[in-house]
Amino acid sequence: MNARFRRSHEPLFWLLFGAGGLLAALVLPALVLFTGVIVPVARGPGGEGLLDYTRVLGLLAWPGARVALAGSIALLAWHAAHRILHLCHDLGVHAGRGLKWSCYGSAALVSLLACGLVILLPSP
Amino acid sequence: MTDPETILIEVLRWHPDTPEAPWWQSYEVPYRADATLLEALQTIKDDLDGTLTFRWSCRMAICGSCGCMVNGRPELSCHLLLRDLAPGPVRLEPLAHFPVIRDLVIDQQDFLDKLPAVGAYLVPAEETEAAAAAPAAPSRQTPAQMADYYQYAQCINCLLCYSACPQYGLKPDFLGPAALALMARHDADSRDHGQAGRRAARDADTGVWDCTLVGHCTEVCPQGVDPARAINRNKTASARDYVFDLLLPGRRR
Repeated sequence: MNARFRRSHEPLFWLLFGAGGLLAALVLPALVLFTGVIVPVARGPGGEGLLDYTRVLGLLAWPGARVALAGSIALLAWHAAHRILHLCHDLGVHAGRGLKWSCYGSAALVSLLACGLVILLPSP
Repeated sequence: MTDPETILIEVLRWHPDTPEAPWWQSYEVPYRADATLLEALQTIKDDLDGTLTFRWSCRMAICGSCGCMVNGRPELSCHLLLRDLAPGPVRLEPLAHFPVIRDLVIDQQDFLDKLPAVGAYLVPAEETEAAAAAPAAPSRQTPAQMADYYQYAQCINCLLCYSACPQYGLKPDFLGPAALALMARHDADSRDHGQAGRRAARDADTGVWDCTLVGHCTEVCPQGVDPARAINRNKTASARDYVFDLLLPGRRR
């Protein structure tokens, strides 16, 4: 009964997809609330310039913040790639390996760029 | 509201010995508020058109024979009352995604081949000499142990979930909702020792990984089985084994 079944490598992509989804569900609403509501509303003393470049760059003084930033961007990209690939399948678009490579390839590219970015960003 | 005299039932018909393409045939069937759709089909067969072919047996949603598409949704015809379908018309088609033998009768062979492939039977422990010599003892189970698999054991193999599953429609190799729920049912049984033998089927692309959690299988199940949950719990187990097999040398199959 084992001969007809070849092991799938889907778990790898599914785990990245799951991690990205969890992150999106937890972090994105908080980011929307902060950047979209709280910061524009907080116009009182000390409220100006909350999101100025130098100030936000200051967050990256700690190396752990850089790792978290790159990790977040990468996981969200893997999540999006997996979703788009399976959405195409559900919609009846079966572009085969090409689509798979371009979806996951884009996610890998975004991950590399994110890693490069946090390495190259200047220290505050 | 006064009850109608009749209800219009339209059936998609096909006969393998005729060159005709499938055709729709309409029947005006006497309406009774307490009659099931299956009874209406039996009335057609007995009184109106003896050539109409459909499967049925128990009339009480336990044999799983009378599944068909009712207005585009997989249903057991014995499980629907005419009064919930009035005033009609009611459109009946054979179950989606299966080869048609004739009229509403489909070929279940693909599913029957998949049942042994997922190991949908209890596997006893390896017999030791001492155990073989001792008189056979009953395999006792606590209510909690039974609750682990009981829901999945309610499957009646009616195949409504396969008709509901868009993935099975796209990829017929996919083991599918009922077979994978029965895999989970036997894995979860405290009397079973066959988990290792079911892993290859579970971990394959055609196993749990072809499911994209549409969840329509669970909605159409007449027995309250939740195949979507069974499959996605096994995705977690399959992913865990994938990571451990990758990281721990010697564990890999």
